[in-house]
Amino acid sequence: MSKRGLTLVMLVLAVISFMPIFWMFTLSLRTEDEAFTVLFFSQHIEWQNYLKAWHNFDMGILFKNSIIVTSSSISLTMLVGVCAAYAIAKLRFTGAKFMFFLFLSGIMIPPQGVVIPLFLFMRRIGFYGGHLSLISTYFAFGLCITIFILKSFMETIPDQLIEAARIDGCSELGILWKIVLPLCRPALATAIIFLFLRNWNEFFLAYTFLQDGSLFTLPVGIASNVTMYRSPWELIGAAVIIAGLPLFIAYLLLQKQFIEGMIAGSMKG
Amino acid sequence: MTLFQGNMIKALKKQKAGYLLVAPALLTFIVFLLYPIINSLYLSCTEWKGFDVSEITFVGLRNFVWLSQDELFWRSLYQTIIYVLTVTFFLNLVGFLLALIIEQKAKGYKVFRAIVFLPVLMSMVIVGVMWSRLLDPFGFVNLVLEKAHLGYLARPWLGDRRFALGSVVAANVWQWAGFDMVIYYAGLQGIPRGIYEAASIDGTTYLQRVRLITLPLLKPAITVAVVLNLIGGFRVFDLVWVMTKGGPNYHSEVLATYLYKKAFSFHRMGVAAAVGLIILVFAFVASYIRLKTAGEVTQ
Repeated sequence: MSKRGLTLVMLVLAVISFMPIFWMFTLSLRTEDEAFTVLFFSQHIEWQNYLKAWHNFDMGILFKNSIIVTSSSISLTMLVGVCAAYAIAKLRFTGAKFMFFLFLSGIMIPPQGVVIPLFLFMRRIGFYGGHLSLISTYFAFGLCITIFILKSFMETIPDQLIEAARIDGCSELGILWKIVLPLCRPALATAIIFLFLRNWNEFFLAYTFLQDGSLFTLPVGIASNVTMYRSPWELIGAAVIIAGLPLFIAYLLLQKQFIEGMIAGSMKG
Repeated sequence: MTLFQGNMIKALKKQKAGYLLVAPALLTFIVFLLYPIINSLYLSCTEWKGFDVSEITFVGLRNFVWLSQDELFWRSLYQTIIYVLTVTFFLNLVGFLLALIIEQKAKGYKVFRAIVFLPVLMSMVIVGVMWSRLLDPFGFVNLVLEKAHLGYLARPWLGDRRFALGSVVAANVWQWAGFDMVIYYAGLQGIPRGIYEAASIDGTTYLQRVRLITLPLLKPAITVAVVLNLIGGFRVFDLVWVMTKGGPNYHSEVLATYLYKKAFSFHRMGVAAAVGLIILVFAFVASYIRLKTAGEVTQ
């Protein structure tokens, strides 16, 4: 097939692929009467739907909660993961290989498989119902894959570089902070993007652990409000667009990193 | 102090630093991952109601016997397997075809790749909400069918027992096709150009080259994509929950939704833990297969 023909095929497929999102966008701009009857745009463009959806679904609170949970869990994962990856990759202590195998086996644990013991554990330590239940589990679930990504990358850093700093009297933490981390930027970005997508979108555990609507994260809030209040369609549309917009903008800016992060994280995880 | 002693001290210091740096991660791993896994072995042999955490009674293998006699459990397992197999089949087919298209690098292929990949980043909840509107009796799909004078095909897709599970499959394939596409695209990039050129000099057609050269050389990418799709499909919860909640009349119930209902609607935590254990075992078998084939995987 000619290249021009291929471009045409891609155009058609892209329209099909993007149609659900585009239709959702048009839905979000319709009036209540026309929500069911108009295929795409109607005479009136109701930008007000966005304000209504933002208030009706308490989206400010949902965003705030999602930001709290996602940023805290990622910070913890990175802090602990960086140290462990460095120890395994560069300090080669006795048992490092076994420990790496242990973390490797943790990558595949599905939350659905351990949700009941986790539920019991969260109740016992008093985390159940609060953000700490999510922050701690996201932190732990992200740790294994982070160690894997960072360790593979750190191994490519020459030992001489680290040895030289050690001879100069630099502490291990100093080496990690001043020499290893600046060199690891691409791997750090990959890990953070993957963790961000996973924690930001996570629904199952959040739905299980949270009870109080004022603590809901975005996915739980969207899922619960939509089914609970039998909301008008155009507001559901607006809520979905609002919820997806920050990620969409980030994707426009960092498209390559997002694709790489998602693939790298999933290939190994 | 001799040089030897000095080296010894340095090595010991390194060891100590290593243990100190890995300790927090190890502790987290043990408390939040290892302990729940081991505990699920025990909890699957108990019965409790969820909110009476002090009244957990040991019942032996009774939960597993109960599950084996529960028709709904078998239905959920069966539907999960159907779901996983169809999703995996279509994702790989579509992903592969899309990769073949963008591999030609015709004008605009980068924009195309970005658009097709976009849904991968979206929350499955949002995708579920979107597709429930699309497939609603008054939704986009039926509206289009009516405008195309195909109104007799319109139906409440998610409320029809024959189409509910298939609808969730469609949403899943739509969301993740871009993911498989990128994996296959990476695999295609790894095939040396020279082989194709030699083959086209020999007068082979494009389809022959795909069948005789591309597919065999793509085996590592196929393995990765298939195993990842199987793993992802087996734990599906979000999409089903948002779109159908397992209905109508349990015709789209899968293991994870079955587990959730058993635990938090019927308060049978022991039974739910047993289902969780089954999901865990599957995950470990799948990841074992993947580790075994990891050697073949090229990045």
